[in-house]
Amino acid sequence: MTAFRAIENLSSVTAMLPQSTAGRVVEEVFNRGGHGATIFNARGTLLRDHWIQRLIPVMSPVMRYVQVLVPDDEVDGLIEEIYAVGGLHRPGAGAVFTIPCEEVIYSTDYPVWSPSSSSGSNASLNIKENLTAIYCITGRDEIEAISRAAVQAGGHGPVVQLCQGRGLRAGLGWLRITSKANKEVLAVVVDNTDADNVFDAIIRAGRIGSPGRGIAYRIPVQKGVVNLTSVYGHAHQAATLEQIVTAIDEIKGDSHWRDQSVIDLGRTGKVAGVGLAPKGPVDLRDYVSLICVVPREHMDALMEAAIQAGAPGINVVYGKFSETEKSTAAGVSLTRERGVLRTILPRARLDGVRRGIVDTAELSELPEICLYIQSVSRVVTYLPEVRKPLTGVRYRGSFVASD
Amino acid sequence: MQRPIANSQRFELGPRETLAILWPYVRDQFMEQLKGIWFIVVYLFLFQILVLGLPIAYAGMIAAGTLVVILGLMFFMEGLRLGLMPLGEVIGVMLPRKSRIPVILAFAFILGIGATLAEPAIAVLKAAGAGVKPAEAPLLYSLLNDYARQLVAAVGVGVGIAVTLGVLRFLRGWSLKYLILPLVGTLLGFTLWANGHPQMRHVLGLAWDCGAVTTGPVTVPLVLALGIGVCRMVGGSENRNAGFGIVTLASLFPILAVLLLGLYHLNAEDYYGAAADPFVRAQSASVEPRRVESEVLAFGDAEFQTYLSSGELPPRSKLILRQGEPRLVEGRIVHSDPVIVLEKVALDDQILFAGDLWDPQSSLHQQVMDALWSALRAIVPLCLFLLFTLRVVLQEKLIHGQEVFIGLGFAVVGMSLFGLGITLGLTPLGTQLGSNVPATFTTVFPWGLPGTEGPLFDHAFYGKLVAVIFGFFLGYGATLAEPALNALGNTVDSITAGAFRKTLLMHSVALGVGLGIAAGVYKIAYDLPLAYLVVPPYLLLLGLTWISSEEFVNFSWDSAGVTTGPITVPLVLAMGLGIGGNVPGVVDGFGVLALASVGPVITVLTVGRIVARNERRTAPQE
Repeated sequence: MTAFRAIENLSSVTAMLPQSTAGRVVEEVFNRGGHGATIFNARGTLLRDHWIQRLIPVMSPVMRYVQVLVPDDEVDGLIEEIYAVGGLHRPGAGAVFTIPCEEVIYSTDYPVWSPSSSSGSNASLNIKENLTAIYCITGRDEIEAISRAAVQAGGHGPVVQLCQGRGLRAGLGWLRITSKANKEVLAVVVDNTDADNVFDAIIRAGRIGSPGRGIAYRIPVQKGVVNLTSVYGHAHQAATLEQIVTAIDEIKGDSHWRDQSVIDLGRTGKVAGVGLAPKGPVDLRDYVSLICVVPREHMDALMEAAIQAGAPGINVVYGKFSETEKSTAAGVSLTRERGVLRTILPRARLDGVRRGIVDTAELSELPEICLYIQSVSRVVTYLPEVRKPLTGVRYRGSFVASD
Repeated sequence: MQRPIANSQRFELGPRETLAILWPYVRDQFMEQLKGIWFIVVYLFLFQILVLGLPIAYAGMIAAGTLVVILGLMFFMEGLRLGLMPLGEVIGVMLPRKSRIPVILAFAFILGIGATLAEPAIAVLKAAGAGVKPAEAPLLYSLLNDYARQLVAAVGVGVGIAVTLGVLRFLRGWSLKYLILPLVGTLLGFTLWANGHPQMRHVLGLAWDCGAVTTGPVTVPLVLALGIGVCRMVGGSENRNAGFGIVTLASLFPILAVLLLGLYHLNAEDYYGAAADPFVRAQSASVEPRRVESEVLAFGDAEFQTYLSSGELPPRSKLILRQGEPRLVEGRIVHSDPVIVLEKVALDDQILFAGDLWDPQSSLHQQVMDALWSALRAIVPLCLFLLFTLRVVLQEKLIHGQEVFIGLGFAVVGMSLFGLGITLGLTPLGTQLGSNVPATFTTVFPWGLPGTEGPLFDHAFYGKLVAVIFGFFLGYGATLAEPALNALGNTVDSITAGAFRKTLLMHSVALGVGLGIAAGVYKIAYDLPLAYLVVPPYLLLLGLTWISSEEFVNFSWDSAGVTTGPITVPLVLAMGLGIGGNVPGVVDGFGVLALASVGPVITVLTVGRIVARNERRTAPQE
C-alpha cells in the first residue's frame, strides 16, 4: 500500500544547460542537500542568419534539462549556486528558473527535499523576476517553424525535448499502433514584456488551436536567469546580439534596462520607455498543469489512470533520475529512469484526475511517485467538445481561454 | 490489484472510422518509403536509357518489384518500431536489472551467433565468389566452396564475441575508441602482411566484405535496441555511450575471424591443390567456370533435353574445341581428344525495345515462397529466443504485448515483401545496370538483351570515369533506401533528442558510401590491390577517431556497419562482378563493400568535426 503525503512550499527549479555543465550542476544540487534530480535530454535551437550557413545541415546543440523540487527557502541559494557553477553569466551558457508549486503530493518513498531551518541567501541582481515560461507541445514537423517564430519574436534559445503524446488514440484498441511518439515539447523562457508576442507568434506559427495541432500554455516564472544562444553569427560579425546585450548588462550592472522596450498598446499605438512592462498577466487560475513524476516502468499504468479519470491529453517525457544513493545490480550501478507525465486541465477536473492517479498508485502499490500542480496563466488548444461556454474567445472552433 | 477500468474511454469504431484513422497512417508510411527509394530507381532507369542508350529489360517486372519493395519497407519499418526494437530494448533494460553478468554475456553471445545465421546477406557472399578461379586463388576458392560452413561459423563466432564485448563495454563504461584503435590496428597489420602473401591476399577481399555483410536489417535494429536498453540502465547521468558501438564491433570481428580461418587452412595446407587437400577434384574442372553473362546467352534445360533426344545442334550455337591436338591431315583439320563446348551466340541485330516485360524464366510462386521462407528464418527464431529470454530467464511480461506481436507480424510480412520485391525489381535492375556499365569502356553483351553494346567512349579512361561516377550515385541512392540505416537514423535522432537529425546522418553516410563505392569501382577497373585502397583510409580513420568525441566515434562507426544491407549489397556486387569480368586479370569482385564501409565513417566523423568547430565558436565564452 503506497501512502501519500502532502507538502507545501516547494518550487520546481528547472535548469536548461549544455551537456558540459549539467553534471556539475547536479552535483551542486546534491551538495546543497537535494536527494535527486531528474535529467532529460534536450536540444537547443540554432538558426542561421547567413544564407550560406543555411545550406549546411544544422546540428542543434545537445542540452540537458534538469528538474529538481526545492523547498522555497532554498530556491534563491540554489539558483545563485547554479548560476555560479554553470557560469550562466556567459552568453549561451544556459538558463535556470523556478516555478512555485501550488501543491505537492508524494509517496513516502519519494526522495523529497524537505524544508530545513537553514536560511537561504537573497537573490542578487543577476536574477530576474519578470519572466514567463512558455511551453508548446506539438508534432515534430512543426517545431522548427515554431522555434524560428519564437526567436524572431524575442524568445532566447527555445529548448526542445522529445515526448510522447497520449490521449485520444489510447482507446482505439489495436489501432493504437497508428500513434507515434513523435511529439516535441518546446520550452522558452522570456521576459514578461515579450511574453505576449512570443506566445502569439508560437500559436500563429504552429497554428495551435486547429484540431490535432497540440497545445501551448504559459506559466509565470518566479525568478530565473536566461542566457541561451539561438543564432549562429556570421564568422565576420563581431558579436552576436546576445553578446552585446550581455556586455551592456555588465556595464549597467543589472538587466533592468531591458525593460525599456516597445510596448504594443493594441489599437492605441506603441510606446517605448523604461518600466512600462505590464507586471505580468493576471492569473485566471482556470487551468492548471498537473505534473506527475514516476519510475518509467509504471508510467503506462498511470497514463491509463489519468486518461480514465478525465485528463484531456497527456504528454510524457522520459529522463534519468540522478540520486545521491546509487542502486547497483550485477556489479554495476543502475540508473533509475523517471517519466514525467504532464497534463493541462481545467481546475474543475483537477480533483478527479488527481484522485484517479493517487488511487491507482495506492491500489497497485506503485513506488516513488510525486505529483505537483502549477497554475497556468494562459492556454491555447483545440477543444474537441466544449461542454459549456467558458469566458474567452472562440475563433473557428478553436477556443482561447485567455486572460 | 488492478483497478477495474471503465469502458468509457474505449471508442466503438465502425469500418468507416477505422479506415479514416488508418488511411493517413498508411499514406504517411508509404510516402516516407517512397522518398527513400525513388532516387535509386529513377537514377538506374535514366542511366540505362539515357547514358547507355539501352532499353530496360523486364520493365514490368521491375516496376512491380519496386512497388512491392516500398510496401515491404512500409511494413518492415513499422514492424521494427512496434515489435523488434521495443522487444530488444525491454530485454536490454531488464537484463542488467535481473541477471548476473555471466548470464548477460551468454545471452549476448548467443544473440550474436543467431543473428548472423539468420542474416540473408551471408548467402550473397557465395554468389560473389562464383567467378573465383581455383587455379588463381586456391585458398579463397576452398574457403568459399569446401569450407563454406566453417566460414559462416567463423563469422557467427566473430559476431558473437563482438556483441558480448559490446555489452560488456556498456556495463563497464569502456570507451569505444580504445577498442577500435587496437582492433583496427591489428587488422591493418594483418592486411598488409596478407597482401604480400600469394594465397592470403585473395582472402582479404572476402574477409573485409564479410565484416560489411554481417550486419543486416534485422540484426542492426535489434542490437541497437538492446544496446540502448542496457545503456538506459547502466552508467551515470553523463554516460556518453548511449547504446551505439555493438554494430561496429560486429563488423570488425568477423574480418579477424575470417582472416584467422584463412590462416588456419593455409597452415594446415588442406586447401585446393595444396599438399594435404582432402577433396577429390573432378577433372571436368578443365572447362573453366564461365560466368553466365545473361540467361539469353545460356542454354536452358529444355534446349538441352531437345539436344539429347534429337542429337541436333540447337539453333544459334557455336562449337568450341578445347584442349586436344589439332593437326592437318590430308587437307582436313583433325582435332583429337578435344573437350567440345557448345555456346549459344547472340543475335547480331540490335533490338530497340526489350520485348519481355517479365522474365520468362522466373517463377513467381517460387520467389514468393523463397522470400517468405527467408523472412521467417531471419525473424522467427531470433524472436522466439528473445521472448524465451524475457519470459523464462527474466520472468517479465511484455507491457504492450498486442502491439509487439502486431509489430512482429508486420516485420515478417514486411521482410517477405521486401525480399520478394528485391528479387523481382531491384536485383534485375541492378544486375543489368551492373553488367551494362562496362559498356562505357569496352564491348559487352547487354544483360537480358540480344546484341552487343559499347564502348561509348574512344578512350577507356573516360569510360571508366563514367563508371566511377555511376558507382558514386549508385552508392548514394542505395544507401538512402537501406532500412537498417533508417532505423539507425531514427535511433540517433531520438537519443540525441533531435540534435543530430536523421536526414543529416543519412546524407553524410550516403555520401561516404558513394565515395567508397566510387573508389571500389576504380579499384576494380584498374585492378589495384585492395590493401592499397583499404589501408590509407583506415589510417586516416584512426587519426580522425583519435581526435573525435566519443559519441561521434560511436555512431559514425556504427553507420559504417549499417550501410551494407539488402539493397546495396546486390547492386554493388552485381556491378563489381560486371566490371571485374570485363577487366583482364581481376580474380573476384570483392572489396567494393569494404570500401563502402570506410567511406561513411570518414564522412560522419568529418561532419562531427565541423559541428564541433561550430559549437566551439558559439559555445559560452569565458
